[in-house]
Amino acid sequence: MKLSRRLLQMLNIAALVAMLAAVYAALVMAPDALNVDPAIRPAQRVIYFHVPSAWSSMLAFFVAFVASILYLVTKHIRWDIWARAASELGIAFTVAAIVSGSLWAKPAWNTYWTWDPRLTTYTIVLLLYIAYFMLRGAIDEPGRRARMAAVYGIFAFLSVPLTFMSIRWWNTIHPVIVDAPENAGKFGLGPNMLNAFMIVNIAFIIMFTALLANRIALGWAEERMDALKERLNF
Amino acid sequence: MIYLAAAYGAIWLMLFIFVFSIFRRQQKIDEEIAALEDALERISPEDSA
Amino acid sequence: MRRYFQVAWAVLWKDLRIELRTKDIFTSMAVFAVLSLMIFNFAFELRIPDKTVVIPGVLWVAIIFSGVLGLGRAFISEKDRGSMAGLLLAPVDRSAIYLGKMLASLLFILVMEAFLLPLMVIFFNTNFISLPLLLVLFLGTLGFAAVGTVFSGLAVNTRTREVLLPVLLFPVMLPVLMAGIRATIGFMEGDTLVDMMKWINLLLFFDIMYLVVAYMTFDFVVEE
Repeated sequence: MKLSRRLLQMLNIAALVAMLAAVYAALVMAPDALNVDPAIRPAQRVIYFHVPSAWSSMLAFFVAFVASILYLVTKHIRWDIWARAASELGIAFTVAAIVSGSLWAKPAWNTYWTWDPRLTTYTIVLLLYIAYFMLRGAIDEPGRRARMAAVYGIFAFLSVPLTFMSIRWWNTIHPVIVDAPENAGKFGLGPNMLNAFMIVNIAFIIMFTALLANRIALGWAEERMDALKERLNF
Repeated sequence: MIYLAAAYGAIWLMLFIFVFSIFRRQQKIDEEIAALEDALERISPEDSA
Repeated sequence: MRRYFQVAWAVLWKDLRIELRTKDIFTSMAVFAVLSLMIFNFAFELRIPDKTVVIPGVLWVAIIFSGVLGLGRAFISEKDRGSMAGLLLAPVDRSAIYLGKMLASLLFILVMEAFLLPLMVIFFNTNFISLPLLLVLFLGTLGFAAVGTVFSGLAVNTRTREVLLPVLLFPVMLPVLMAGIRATIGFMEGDTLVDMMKWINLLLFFDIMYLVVAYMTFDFVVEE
């Protein structure tokens, strides 16, 4: 899927508009969280960007996982480009989620960082994908690099659900908004908050698509450059 | 309040850095491709016409 | 089917004989394991009231750290001697080669553990060894060897070779490490096998899933 420049630009504009709407939804539309201490009520609004960032990172790693499998099956360079693009995007969202989470934790838990399993394992997921790029960087031959990276991408992603499963059984102080039974379908948020939360999530999906499309376009350009260099015996 | 601003700032900064890095790399590659195509044309004007 | 296991056995036996002659891998793993015991003892002794608190962590970290030394050699020695090409040219199923290599690594690490455990009992002056613990150790080591053998194959393809192996392997091994440490703590506190079943199940699930994925992807790792 090679998007035309025009389509890409439209996607970019849509993403920008969606993100502005998301900021409005998160900061203006969403009501104050009345059940939390007034002192940390503003900080509670971090959730509207923190959670979608974390989900987007998981979505990105999932895309990378599927692309890795498709690469091994088809050996088509497209899937290598997709896997690389999605992994990079995942790292960016992971850093955004960790940093925003830690800035929420300061007022809420009175510390930027605690050795909570959820935080620790999420950081290790980040290290997994940094290792992915280290592996790529250490192999010169493109075909072999794509193959090795795809194998690692599959292993790396499979360990993510196992890791999250195991932290459920350690005691985590991280709020669980999706799985708590009393919150079924409500994510622990009131109706108006839920609306805002949904708007932000949709905006993140649009932005995610736009970023991925741009990064994939860049990957194709890199590919083209390498092919030209090959022809010129650089 | 300050933490809210800092958290949103951090996320936007991260996204901005990512977008900017894509933009920069794309620009560099576009330039390089143009240069390479130029060089290719000079070497063999007949086959890249 | 018989032929398949004959191939795996041949690879395993070859690695074992090399090891019996040189003792390279075992010596470096064992010495490193003892060394890390000493360092841990030194690092923690003054600060904690009860040594049993650190035993599970020390045990698993020592195993993982010294195990990765052995795993690193699985393919590098083949590549350095130039025997890798010969191995791959053999008209056999590649996954049988994987199985043989994996079993060899598994055996080396298990032997190292058999050496490490009594030492730990002596140094920490606590007999923490029990049958359920041995089961958990075996399952953890199996997963470790299953993934480690594939990653060892990945690492030989890179410029940095064994330097990259721990960076690739440790984050993927995290579920095994967490389950292993948790179960070890449980057994030391007197929990039974049934209490710790969820961790054992997690280990089993990890082992089976990763063995299957390793089995399917190994071809791509050694493909030239």
